[in-house]
Amino acid sequence: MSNSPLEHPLFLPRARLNDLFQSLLDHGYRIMAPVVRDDSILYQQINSADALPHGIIDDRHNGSYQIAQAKTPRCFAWSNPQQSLKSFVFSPVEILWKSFYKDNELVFQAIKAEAQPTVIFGVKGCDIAGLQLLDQHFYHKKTPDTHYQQRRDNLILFGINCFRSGSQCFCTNTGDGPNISSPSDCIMSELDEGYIIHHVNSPLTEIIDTLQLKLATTAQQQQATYESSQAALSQQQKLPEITANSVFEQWSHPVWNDIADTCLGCGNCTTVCPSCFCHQESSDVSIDLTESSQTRSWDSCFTTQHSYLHGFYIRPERSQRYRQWLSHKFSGWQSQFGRIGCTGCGRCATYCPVGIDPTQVLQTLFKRRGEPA
Amino acid sequence: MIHTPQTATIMQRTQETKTIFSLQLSFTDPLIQRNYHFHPGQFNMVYLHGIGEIPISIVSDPRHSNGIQHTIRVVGRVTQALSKLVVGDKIGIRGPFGTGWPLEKSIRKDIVFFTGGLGCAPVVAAIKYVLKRRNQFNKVVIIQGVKHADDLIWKQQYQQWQAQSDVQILLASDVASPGWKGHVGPPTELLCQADFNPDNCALMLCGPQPMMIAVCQQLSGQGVREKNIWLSLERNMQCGNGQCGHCQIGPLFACKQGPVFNLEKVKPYLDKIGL
Repeated sequence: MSNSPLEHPLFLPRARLNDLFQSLLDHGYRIMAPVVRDDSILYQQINSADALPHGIIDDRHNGSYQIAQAKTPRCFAWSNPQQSLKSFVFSPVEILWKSFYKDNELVFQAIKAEAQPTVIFGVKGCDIAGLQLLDQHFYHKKTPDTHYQQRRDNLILFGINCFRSGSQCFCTNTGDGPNISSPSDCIMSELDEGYIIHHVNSPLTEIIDTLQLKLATTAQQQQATYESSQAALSQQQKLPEITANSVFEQWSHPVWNDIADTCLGCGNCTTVCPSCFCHQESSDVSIDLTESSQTRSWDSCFTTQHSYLHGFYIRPERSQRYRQWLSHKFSGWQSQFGRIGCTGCGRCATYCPVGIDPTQVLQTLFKRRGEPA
Repeated sequence: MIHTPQTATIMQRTQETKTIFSLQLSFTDPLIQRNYHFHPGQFNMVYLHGIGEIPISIVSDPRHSNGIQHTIRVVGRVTQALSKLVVGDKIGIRGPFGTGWPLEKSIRKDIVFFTGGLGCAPVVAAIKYVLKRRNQFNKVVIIQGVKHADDLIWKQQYQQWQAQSDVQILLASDVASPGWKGHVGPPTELLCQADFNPDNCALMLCGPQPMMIAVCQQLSGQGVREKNIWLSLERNMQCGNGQCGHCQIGPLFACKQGPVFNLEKVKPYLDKIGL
């Protein structure tokens, strides 16, 4: 799938967004879209564009997040929602298979994942890139994960170019935003008066065609380009140059111990990360011992148990666990998947209870002698 | 077989030492048994209903028709429960997973097996493979080190191998016991006695990681090239399919690109504490 732009981008007036929603519903899609819930922006199933976060912006800093009402008619004026797309394809908890006895024979039963055709509406570039990373890990391999595959095959992505960079955003550094660069089914830009449709793939082409939209004007396209470039320019965080070996080469750097003095080891960063894929398996047994469910659930390399090996832990120290995460994310990934495992969404810094910002840790790690901290 | 276990029956159980036992297994479905193929050095995820699932290396000969053999040391909850099973009991098997030893690539080379502690199970299948096809290989050396002389499992097996004139067996124990005829001290001290050609050899190492690092350093001094050294590494493995993330050694997934690694590939990460 490639994002070939439409030769003549279309324009969907704001008042007609519900026509698009209705058409998607008529075609049997479930629509998941960002809404305001619990003072956050979260994905939820909706049936009308009225439920979108109208006029909401977010204000993110290291260790803090809040939303506010702004004077804008836009629904996607924030940087990114609290969740990435991870839980749509890789369930936080799910049963893989069951074992039980039937006629005195031990039987194993594979459990299939349930999935229905789902449109995820209004996804930012960092999160579409995050999904692409998960695809590489779970899907595009010799033996794809069947649960992931089932859910992924049912997803339709409506991407939206991002015009607001949070203070921790650095997607321009990772090449994943603010305009969408990863494969998507539809790519839009939001202006005050409506939406430019830059790209659309089958099966959405037919749905968009029925709306009989007019072409976007040159002025509208220029406005979108301008706003996107402003979002890029406003990004303050910078990644240093990192190679597949460079974090491993800093194995004895004092920064690891310094971070361990602050880091709580809570694993929030790995939970909100769009690409963190670690999971554990457990055998959950019914109280009468007749049935056992092999359950997988998200795991975090910040737990000691993650590195357990018959009676000892490979990473008993928090400094080692933080180093494991950062070295994997920025160096290990490059060897495994051909790029860093970060899409610049900045959530790890936002949702860190003590406000640790990995871009600053990396800057310290690769600071040249004589440079200020 | 990769995602969901298949039922296997315990055909035979052998108590090797006080804490080590072997299970001979056969899939209950004959078709699965027929289609099950593995390379020495690979492992299975072994599941006991209601208890849990753990990775265990396969010790049987890949061409042997008598099913699969696992040798297991009681170290935790699952191995403790597995030790209580008897002939006829059923368990689940997923696999085989990972890479095996480079046996076919090592034909007409000198083969040195170096194992330490109780980590010899992953190389036993390879030793059996080589000795069964003895004429395909040049010199064969087996070096085994244990902490205490009483820890040496497969004593009979070693006696049999020792009786073969075309195999050099070197045994070392940190602590000797009455009647111990082997070397007393670390097994690395035996490397200089090993009779093999450093220019045409394959070394297969298994055991505690610090011991293997020491062996690799010594072998480098003896002129053995890194590309001729292979190591079996242990990590927490849960999915077996390179997905769960627990077994990573730097960028390497031990369950997929290992557990048998060429030294050249794993060397940058081998001595990094915490990887």
